[in-house]
Amino acid sequence: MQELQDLKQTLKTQIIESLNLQGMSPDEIDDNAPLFGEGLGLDSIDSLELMVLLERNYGIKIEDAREGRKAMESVNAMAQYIAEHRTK
Amino acid sequence: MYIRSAACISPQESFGQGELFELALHRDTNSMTCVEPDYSKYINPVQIRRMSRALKMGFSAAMECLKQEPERIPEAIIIGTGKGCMSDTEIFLHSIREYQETALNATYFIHSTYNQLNGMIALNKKINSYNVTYVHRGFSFEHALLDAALHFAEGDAKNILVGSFDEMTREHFTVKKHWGYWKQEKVQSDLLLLSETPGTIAGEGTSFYLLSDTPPDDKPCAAIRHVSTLYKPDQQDMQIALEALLRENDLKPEDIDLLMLGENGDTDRPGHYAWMKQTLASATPLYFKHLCGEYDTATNFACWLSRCILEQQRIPEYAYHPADDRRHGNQKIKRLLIYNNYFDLNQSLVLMNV
Amino acid sequence: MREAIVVSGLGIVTAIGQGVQASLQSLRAEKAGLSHLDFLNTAHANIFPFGEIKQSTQELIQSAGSSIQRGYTRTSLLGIMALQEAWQQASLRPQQGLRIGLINATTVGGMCEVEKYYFDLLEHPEGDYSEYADTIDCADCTHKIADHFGIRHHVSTISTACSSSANAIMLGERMLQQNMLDIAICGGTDALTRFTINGFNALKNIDREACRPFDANRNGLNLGEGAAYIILEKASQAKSRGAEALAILSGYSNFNESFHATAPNPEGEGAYQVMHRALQKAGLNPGDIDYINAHGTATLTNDESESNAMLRLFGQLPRFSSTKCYTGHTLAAAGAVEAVLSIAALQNGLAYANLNFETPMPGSALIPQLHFESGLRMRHVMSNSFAFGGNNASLIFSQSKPLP
Repeated sequence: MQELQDLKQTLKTQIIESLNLQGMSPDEIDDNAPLFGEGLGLDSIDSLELMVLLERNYGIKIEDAREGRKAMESVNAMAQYIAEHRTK
Repeated sequence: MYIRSAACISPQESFGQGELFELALHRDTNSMTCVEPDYSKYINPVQIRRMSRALKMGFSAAMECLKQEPERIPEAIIIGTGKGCMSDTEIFLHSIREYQETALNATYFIHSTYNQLNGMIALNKKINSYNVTYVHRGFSFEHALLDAALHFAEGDAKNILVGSFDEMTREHFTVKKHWGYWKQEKVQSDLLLLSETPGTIAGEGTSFYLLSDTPPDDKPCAAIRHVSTLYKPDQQDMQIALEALLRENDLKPEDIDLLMLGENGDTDRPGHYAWMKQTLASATPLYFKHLCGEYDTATNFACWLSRCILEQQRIPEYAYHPADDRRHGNQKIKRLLIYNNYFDLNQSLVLMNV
Repeated sequence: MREAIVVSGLGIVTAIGQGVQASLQSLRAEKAGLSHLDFLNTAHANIFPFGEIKQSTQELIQSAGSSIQRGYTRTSLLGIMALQEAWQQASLRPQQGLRIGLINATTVGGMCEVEKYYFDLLEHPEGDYSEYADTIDCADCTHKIADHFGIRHHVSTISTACSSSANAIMLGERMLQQNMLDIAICGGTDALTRFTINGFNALKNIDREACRPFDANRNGLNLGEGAAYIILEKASQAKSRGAEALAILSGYSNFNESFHATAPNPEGEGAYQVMHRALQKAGLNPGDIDYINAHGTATLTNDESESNAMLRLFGQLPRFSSTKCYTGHTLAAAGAVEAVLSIAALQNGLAYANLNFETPMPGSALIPQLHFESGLRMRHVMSNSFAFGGNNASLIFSQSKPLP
């Protein structure tokens, strides 16, 4: 459980860094809030950047954009997806 | 084409309401980089996080230009750029190698496409109309002007946003240095025109104009009257082009008051500057490359400077040759001709008046 | 009053052949030019199908002619090969007193060579890289092509991503109307590069299989390379100098959708507007169009948006297909490649098969042209090109002679 909490914290830092969300701190990202559209307000280009994050940091390769979108609904969903699919 | 508003980001303190800057800034690095404004006034935080320097500069200049004429919505957006967003192109090239063609950031690729800035301006201002980017090295800005002139001649536009942008990166400076573009020795920019060695110094910049088919009725307004582009011209080609320009505008050589020359201190590529000064001997010669450096769309900086001179009827001291004490005097300045030579390949004439 | 602008020359080279006749043979046989890569060094060479022209750059130099010297990039060579065909067909010579302009389009320019030497140059600057000096931009290939044919009056390059050469064709028409040129050579050229392949791969829109335009199960585009040019001039001039008018460029439009940096509006507003405006310019009704060469990239978003737009504008659609399933997406060249194929369809009464189509999309449920057809009565054809940044273009070509 603690492991997943740590993963989420790391993930938030990585999201901020990868998307260059200047002035934002990890605590400002809600675990359950949607990353796209409302919520954090990210768009389809951000979703591509997040896929790069998953591949580079966790060795997860998502080929299908639609599957990617689902895996990245929220920080919670992303952490869960990483925990299940990570290869590094 | 009347210049209703203008905004310029350059190695000088040129950004603002389109007034002449008082003092010229000098560099001694052989590369003149822009004085960048506070972007947060023009770009929201969500947009800015993905934008490279070239996009930020170009976008801010375009926004400032449109802001000055809020009632005029352009019916076309036409931009020139020689190299586009060079830094994004470089980052993408590096990441292809670093990550061995896996897991690459799409953003840099998207921004490396030359019409990114056009799309961004259109998207931000919800402008649906004609939208084109010219990428022909030393003709990029001139061809954007020509396209705008075509639209006015066709009668299907009243207001057009025209501009250009180019950035110099450290890496691109190195690449071009290899090909002999820059001077081997360090030159102080204000002494560039006195240099007697091959090569020149690098520059960058962006300017945007809102061009209109009618002038304002309450103030003097500079206009662009004629644009010629000449590919690898010899002296005879220059002569034919100059004669056509004078004839089509019903002018005599004496009617040109000022010459704005793109001389850049490069002894290997003297262009036809000497011939031009001799042919238009009554025009007072002015210079601009020591202020902005050399780059694909440098003519645009000349245009911006010329517009200020024409509207303010004032020639700043820094626009004269440091070794020439000829001054224009107090006669009214009606017409100005810009002549630029981009490394002997692309040469252009732009006639402006007020 | 606009004077009719006619097409007096066509030139094309893509993965389905060099020249209009060779291209038509492939189209007639419904034979795509997609394959794995033989001539470009990339990790993706054997993963994706590409529309690669099966000649090495060295072989292209041979094909393009003996006068080619060092420093010609693949992009320039493809451009020269395509223009040679159009140049001959239009009986052009450099010294005949005509003001000839070359309005070229490219997205990669010299990147095909730059990406090979770039790091060597940075890391081992003592080497000799003079051969490819200045190939790093889009103007280099235009200069090389212009020099090869002795074109000096006007040389220009447009880059609006995938609609680039359609915009070049429009500019040519406008410059002719304003009497700035006598001959406008308009088109584009793009070679395959590691740069673009990785770029589109990063956008996750390349299909690992042959692309399936307008199919419900389409999964992205295939990249291709090629070049194509059309030669435009006033009808009166073509007549007086004895050049055959192959078609009339009767309508065109450029419309920016202002929707998203890379994706089109799924409703197809931009695509609708640009086709509608092109029809208006031509003074035609939707029912006058007999064939549409669709943009049809087979990406999820383009085909949905284009289908919705065509359905809204035409109601009952004419024959339509995408030829990108033969050539791959040739980016800046695509607009001119497809203009040439559209004109060939108009001249010969042809409709090309949209390959790999099985299942109509939910919603629009459109069915493209499934088989090659000939002997059709064609009055007007439309060619669409839509691009990044919402830059949409549409062209209409019409018969230059009354149909029997």
